[in-house]
Amino acid sequence: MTAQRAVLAPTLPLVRPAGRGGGYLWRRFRRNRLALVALAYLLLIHVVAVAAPYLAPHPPEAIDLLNQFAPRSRDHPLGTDESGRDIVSRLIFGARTSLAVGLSAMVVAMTVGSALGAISGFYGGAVGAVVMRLTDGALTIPTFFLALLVLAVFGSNITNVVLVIGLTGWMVVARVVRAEVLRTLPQEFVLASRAIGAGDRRILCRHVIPQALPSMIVAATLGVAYAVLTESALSYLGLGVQPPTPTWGNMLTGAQHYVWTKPVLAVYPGVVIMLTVLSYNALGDVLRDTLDPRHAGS
Amino acid sequence: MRRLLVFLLAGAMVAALNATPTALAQAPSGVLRIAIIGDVTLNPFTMPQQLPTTMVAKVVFSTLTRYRSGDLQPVGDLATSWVPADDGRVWVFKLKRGVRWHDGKPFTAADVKFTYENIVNPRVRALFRSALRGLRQVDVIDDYTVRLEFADPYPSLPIVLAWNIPIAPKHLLEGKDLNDLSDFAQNPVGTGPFRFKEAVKGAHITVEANPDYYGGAPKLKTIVFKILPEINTVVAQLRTGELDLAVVESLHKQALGVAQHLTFKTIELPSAFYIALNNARWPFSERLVRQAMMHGLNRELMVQRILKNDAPLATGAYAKSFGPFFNPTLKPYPFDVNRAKQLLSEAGFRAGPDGVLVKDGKRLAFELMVDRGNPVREQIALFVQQSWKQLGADVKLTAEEWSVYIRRGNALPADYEARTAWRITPPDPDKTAEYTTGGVNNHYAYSNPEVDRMMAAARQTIDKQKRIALYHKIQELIYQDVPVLWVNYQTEILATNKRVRGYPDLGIRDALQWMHLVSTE
Repeated sequence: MTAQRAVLAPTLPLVRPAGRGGGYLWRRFRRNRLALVALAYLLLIHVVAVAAPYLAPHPPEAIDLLNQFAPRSRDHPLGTDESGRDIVSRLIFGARTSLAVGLSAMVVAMTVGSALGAISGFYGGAVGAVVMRLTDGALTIPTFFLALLVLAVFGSNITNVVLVIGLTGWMVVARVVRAEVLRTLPQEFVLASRAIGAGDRRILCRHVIPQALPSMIVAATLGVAYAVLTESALSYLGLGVQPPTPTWGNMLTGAQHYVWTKPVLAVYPGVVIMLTVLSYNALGDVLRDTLDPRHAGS
Repeated sequence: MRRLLVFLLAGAMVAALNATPTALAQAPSGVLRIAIIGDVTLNPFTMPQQLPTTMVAKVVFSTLTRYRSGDLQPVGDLATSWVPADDGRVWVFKLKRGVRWHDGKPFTAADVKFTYENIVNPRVRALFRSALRGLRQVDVIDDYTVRLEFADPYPSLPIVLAWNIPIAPKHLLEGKDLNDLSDFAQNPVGTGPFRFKEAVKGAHITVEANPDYYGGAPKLKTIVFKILPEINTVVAQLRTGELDLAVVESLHKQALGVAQHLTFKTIELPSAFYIALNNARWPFSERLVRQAMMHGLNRELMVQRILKNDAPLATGAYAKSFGPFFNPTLKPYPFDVNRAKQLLSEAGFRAGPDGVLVKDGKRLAFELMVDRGNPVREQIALFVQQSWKQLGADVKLTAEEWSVYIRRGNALPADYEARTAWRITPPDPDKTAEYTTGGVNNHYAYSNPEVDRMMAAARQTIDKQKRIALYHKIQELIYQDVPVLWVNYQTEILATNKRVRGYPDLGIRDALQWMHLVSTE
């Protein structure tokens, strides 16, 4: 029984294995120090984003021309920017917008990608092939430039930004889900379910999706990293979230003109973007190692 | 251990890639490098009204008159002298002898007649048609004398001719479709101090010295107009010495101030920067609302903090550079939030449930448009938005991409409620285009019949004292109507490499007509 499981089910089943206590996955995860740091940082930044109105010392959009480029002080822990706005408050509210856009875009990408991947894997044949070719075609398009074009033509409000990032990031998810579906379907427990009369929907929901979930979680984590980075790039170029709503990306737009005189203005949002994207990437990597021992070390 | 090694290697690579060249780029002698913001179209009749084309046209073509450094008085370029007759309805110009086109053919009065007649030709989409409005007839008296006859007196003609109207070669363009001169535009022939050499789209335009130039052979060998659409690239190239001359913003002065090889010049321009309010749309059709918005804006603080005092605070539509025509009795509208709120309440606005003012069920909500990419104007727009929020207005800020901004902002009728705006004009007090009903630059739909009448009268008055009195009164009327909110008179900040010598004290548009006097060491 054990040997068969190793061959046919390389991913640890989500059913609690006999003899191993709950929290087994967590203990494996915990062993990786990088993962813990990344997780801690991400928890912190999300809590800050949610509690932004209570945590920010000043309104992020309050211009104070008498206080431009103020140095660090009690009142302004990181100083003020070129219009006298408090940097800490802008970073906090920027977290809110950037993470909201990142997570929403990921949800869009996951929904579209999973649906298409599942359809392709489940039905196979002509339908499956068409969907896969569509995905391949979409992968050849340079997504960032497509995003720039779409936003320039249709306007750059938050909804459009979320949709554009989501609709340029679903392809990887589709492939992953399709691979999982193709791996799961021929397994014995699925065949057994079919034999006793389970319909398509039951197979999908009760067997296929739970098996695909670990890979989907990994894809989602990496997807958020991609979405946050893309949103920052788009906002920096002026085509993402528009001022005066602060995001980490459009804080860079203002800072670029002062890079010779006051480089810290660019360093603060830049560092935060880097830490966030790195942490999501690290988290995704470690999750992949934890949930699928075949990938450990790669 | 291996991981540490990898990190060190990566760090070393990053450091190596980031090493900025500290040595200045070696500047080629006799070559002047100027920054322009985009490609050019050198059709002397239909040229687009944008700065890059204007700049290159100024060195390749000549006009009848040009502005003198210092007092901006018109002096001769292709013309040597000019005399008005019949109260300024008729002008006779004497032209320079011995002038040759870049292809060697002689320049004569016939070229002037050909150029001006086609500018007012309704079939030609000429940019400068309104400058020659009312031109009835052009006569060639002899090869070097030309007579212009207008329907009404036109005392400002010499000033307007110096603004921008290039003379085109009759022997090359007669009989051609002047609306589509793509061949000529790719190889233009003019009488200017520099000959067109080559244009590499998106990269640069090179012109070389014309040794037969009538004003004396230029001291420079070539001028390279480098196409640099991003101001940050311009600033970077000024630093490294790859660029000799460029117009920058005041915030760049600080960044570039440390560079030993650069010097800065600030020139006052006869134009104002203002927040345009669309007088044809709610809520700005009411003077009380416009006055309230003016009182609610701390323009002095804006000039001090955003413009770093590099530009003077504006009183009204006319800048100090207009000399005697400027009305010195007008004072800038004071910053007074209480007065602003009082005016809005007088106009019938009451506080709504969410703090935004309401009148007749309509919220005081509108859009403020600014062009995207200029940090100073974006900062101004943000400050204006915040200031008006304090009065109880709900202002939505839109930073539009340049071509959309121009399309929406300059259309007649215009498609905006409030926007940042400015208009570069010749140093002539006639503002028919800007402040009369239906004027081509009056996108804010200002209309005051008395101003219309007085502006038309002043345009035709030749007696200087009478003109001054008329323009003073016009300024007063416009000031009281406050159709737009003047913030500052514009200044041009020019960053130049110290190797450039002989550059005149003029704004860049006018200075480019004196390039034969400029040299590099």
